[in-house]
Amino acid sequence: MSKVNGGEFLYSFENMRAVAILFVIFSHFSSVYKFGESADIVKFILADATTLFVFISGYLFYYLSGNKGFGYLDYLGKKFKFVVLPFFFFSFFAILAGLVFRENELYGLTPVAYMLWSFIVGGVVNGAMWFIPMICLFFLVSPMLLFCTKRDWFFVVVVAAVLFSVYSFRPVGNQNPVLSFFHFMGFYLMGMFFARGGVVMDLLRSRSKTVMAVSASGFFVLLVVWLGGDQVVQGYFDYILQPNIIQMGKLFFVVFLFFLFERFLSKKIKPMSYIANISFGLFFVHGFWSLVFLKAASYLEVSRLSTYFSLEFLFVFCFSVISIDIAKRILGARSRYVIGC
Amino acid sequence: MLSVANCVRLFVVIFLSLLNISVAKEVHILVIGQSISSNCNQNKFGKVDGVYQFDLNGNVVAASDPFIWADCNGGSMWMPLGERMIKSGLASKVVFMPIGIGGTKVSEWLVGGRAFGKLETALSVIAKKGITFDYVLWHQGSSDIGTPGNIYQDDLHKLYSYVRKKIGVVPWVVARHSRCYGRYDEKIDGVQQKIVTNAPLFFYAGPDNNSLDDRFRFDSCHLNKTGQIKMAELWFESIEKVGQRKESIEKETLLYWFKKIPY
Repeated sequence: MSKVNGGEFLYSFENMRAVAILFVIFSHFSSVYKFGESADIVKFILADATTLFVFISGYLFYYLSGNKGFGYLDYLGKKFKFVVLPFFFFSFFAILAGLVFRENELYGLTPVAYMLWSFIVGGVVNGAMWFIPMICLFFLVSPMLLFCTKRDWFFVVVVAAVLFSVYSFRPVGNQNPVLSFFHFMGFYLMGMFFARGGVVMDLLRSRSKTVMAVSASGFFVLLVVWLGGDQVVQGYFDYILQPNIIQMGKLFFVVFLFFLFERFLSKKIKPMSYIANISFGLFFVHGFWSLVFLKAASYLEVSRLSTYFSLEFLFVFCFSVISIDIAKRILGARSRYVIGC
Repeated sequence: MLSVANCVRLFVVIFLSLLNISVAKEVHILVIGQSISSNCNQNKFGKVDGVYQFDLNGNVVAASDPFIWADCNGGSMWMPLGERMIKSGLASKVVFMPIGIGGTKVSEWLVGGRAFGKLETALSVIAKKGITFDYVLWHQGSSDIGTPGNIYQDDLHKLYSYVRKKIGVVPWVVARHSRCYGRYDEKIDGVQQKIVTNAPLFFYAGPDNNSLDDRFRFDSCHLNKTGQIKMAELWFESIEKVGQRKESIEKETLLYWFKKIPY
């Protein structure tokens, strides 16, 4: 995934991918939102961790496809095998569980309607999976996006799209891939823009320390704004064209991380490489272990939050890694069709 | 061949559906909360045509204050609310089931809490009789003055999840209530609004009980007759908005269209 032209490895992006998946997993922990008064700070840092993933996806897409010949059907075929097939596999079990527990009745849906709805919106049972239907829309429009990168006005499009991303919110419950696609578009294009390079990127690179300092400061200023504000996190039509403080924070965070990793962490770090290599598997699997942990935790009397957090981390992360390892051993090279890695 | 009568009927149906005219229907309301949601307010309202309640066996019987399931022997705001809903055409018949218990914190409605037994009894009657609800009104909060906001939110989500498993996805209309006996908790007030903002598929904005000053209360906490009527009006305004809000949220989540799939 992080392999680049000339066989070089983009270690900075590999490391960043590891950080992104850890953020996504942590953001789905129930314990991190119970940290008393600090819960709002944790929420600001972790919420919308998907933004990192979207940015990385855009960057890698351009890096791997933008400079070389791009075969659309070949690209879609690969994405179908390595992204959509695992999504079908995991969704099948999630939806089956939903039907067994008659979740469809809770939403007032027939079983068929529930199955179709779950497949299309993605994250009805396993919350994290809403991402896949959305990212598939990016795959579908990829030639158009590549076309834009070759035009002089690409920078204007990126700025407009990023502005929209920070002035809009996720759809309710992440249950509308089209609206999510528009909401996250800015960060995908920003990733492509960063990968394309050019005058603006050269300027930013030449002053990367200043950019990092400004980004970090901006992030903390927005944290203060967030703590004193209404703390809205979702609602596409309710809050359209209103400032999304979390996403603005993520904009600074992404820029900060990009230059931090490019300047100082562009080297192989074994644990990060390992996590990055199985990141897609972790993405698919961790939601299930989180659900199991939540069920199990309801029978546990854990009063200390640190203990609860440690248990959740050990349970969700370790079981996710173990299950991926077992799947890879059993399936060998075919594991990518099932668990995405 | 379509007869003239059938053609007229078809035309009327299509015309009404285009106008989006809804016919007033029977509305069932479950009320959960503390004393203010129960019979602990000053005035007892008498029977009103079209306003009913579920009795302890789940049968529909005429309603009047005090309501059968709820605490205390005074009155509530549910009779004037029911009357308002019928007069406005929002419902042709309203059946309430207020199960509030005085002084309860939200945590006390969870497993092991002192209100859990009553909740369970009510839910088992609901299940046995196959009763469905159109709204759950959550009117509670002043008993939680001092409870950290995130704990309150977490507990209310747990309660919602528990009740949802038994009665399905019903809009929960959450009142802002954190003022009582001269004490006011801004954090609980804030979190009651945050819950609505952050889970719009499940929670809907209810009335602001905190906005009623002592002119509307007889003991600086519970409502006098003027307060009960005012509160009923505020509840009505909130409930009136739920339908439209629910539809827009369901459209955003695509549920609106998938609910139309018949098989």
